[in-house]
Amino acid sequence: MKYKILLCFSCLVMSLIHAQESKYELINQMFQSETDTIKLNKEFKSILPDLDYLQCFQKENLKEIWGPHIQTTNEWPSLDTFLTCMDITSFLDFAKKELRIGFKENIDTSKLSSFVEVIAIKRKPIKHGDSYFVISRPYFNCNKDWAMISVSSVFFGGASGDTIHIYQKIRDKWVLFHKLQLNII
Amino acid sequence: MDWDEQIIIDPSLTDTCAAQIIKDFILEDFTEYIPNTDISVHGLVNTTFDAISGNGPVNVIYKAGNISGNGRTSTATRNPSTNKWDVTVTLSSNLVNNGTKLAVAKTIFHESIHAYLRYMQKAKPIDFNSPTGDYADMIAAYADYNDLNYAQHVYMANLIKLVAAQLEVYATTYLDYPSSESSYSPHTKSFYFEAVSWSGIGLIADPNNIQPFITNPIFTNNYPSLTDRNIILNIFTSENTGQISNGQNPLINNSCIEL
Repeated sequence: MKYKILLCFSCLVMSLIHAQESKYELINQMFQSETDTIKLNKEFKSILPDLDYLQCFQKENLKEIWGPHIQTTNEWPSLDTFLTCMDITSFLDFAKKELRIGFKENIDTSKLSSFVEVIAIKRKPIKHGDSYFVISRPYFNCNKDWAMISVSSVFFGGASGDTIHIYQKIRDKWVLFHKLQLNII
Repeated sequence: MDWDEQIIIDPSLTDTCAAQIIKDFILEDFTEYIPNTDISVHGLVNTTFDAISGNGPVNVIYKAGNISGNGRTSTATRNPSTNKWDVTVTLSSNLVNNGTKLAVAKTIFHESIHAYLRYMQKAKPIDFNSPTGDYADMIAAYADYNDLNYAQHVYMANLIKLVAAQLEVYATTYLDYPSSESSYSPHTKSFYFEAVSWSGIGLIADPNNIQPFITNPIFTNNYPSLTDRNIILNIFTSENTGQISNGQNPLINNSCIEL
């Protein structure tokens, strides 16, 4: 019992120390580009669009959202591997908390790579040719080697649905493991 | 507000045109007659709504909400109380409050096709997954990126003429849109309804996430000229927002909240 408490406490301390660092390391690697500047909305959104989406991560629905949604011969990421590495209950607690407190946080521009530009959205509707991504703050597992982050985009003439990207850290690089499409626009 | 056993219209759509449009799509006859023949074909609206309002494995819930984009269709989730799959279609409150009735009708139809595809996946999985069947182009597009959003919008782009024709019938019969060609000048009537139907299909999220969006390959194929594509973008944007878009106004600036 003592060991468990100590383990949880050390995990919490480690989480706080590395949270900021890991957050921007992941974001910068996600949007690595050698040619185009990537525009991000200045404010993080909640990782889930609303409380209705909590049920997508219940045991009976997880397979549904994991896919494949259409039969395919393509290799498919392993749900079991994901579930071994990511505690879904903790993820849902994180998502619920964000939604209940009406979470708001601006992206720290000083921690972004030079090819990522942060913009404040004032115009509605968006002007011809404009486009940008909206991202959530990432959720990390305890070991900080798996992460989930919500990504959507807005552009003149449309928008994307909400997609949760799942990343795995392999040899210090964040590698996309799978994408979960919560909805389609 | 339960409206039908399989279709639920949420109170957030009460006193908007959306509730009536959904009921019309379920109840009215959208049979299409092939010109100069006696041949009639089941219209796409009837195919879509007969399926999702029938006694199948999916219930569809329509509601309004603050979302980016004009509408969204959720993934299917198991409902233990009905033992069926729930699919929620959310219409943007911004669209319902500011867009035209035509834009709301188009969005309901568009999102309902997404819901219909969920229905087919659950109700007729063998037909749905047949690589030589009705959904062959969607299956091929899915194999390219493992991306459902991309695959469904490629599929819908190939239906664009059917969607536009049904939207035209609905708008001119039920929403008081003009029947005369001259009212749509400098465009043709069929082009105008097709342009509105490209909303949500012409430009789609990039399945590689390198950029926020890409142009649907079917849109580029059908309209190779950027000028033509921009005309279409401005037509549907003006209808979606109820505002002028680069010189293009909505055909009729009616409101979905003035019943």
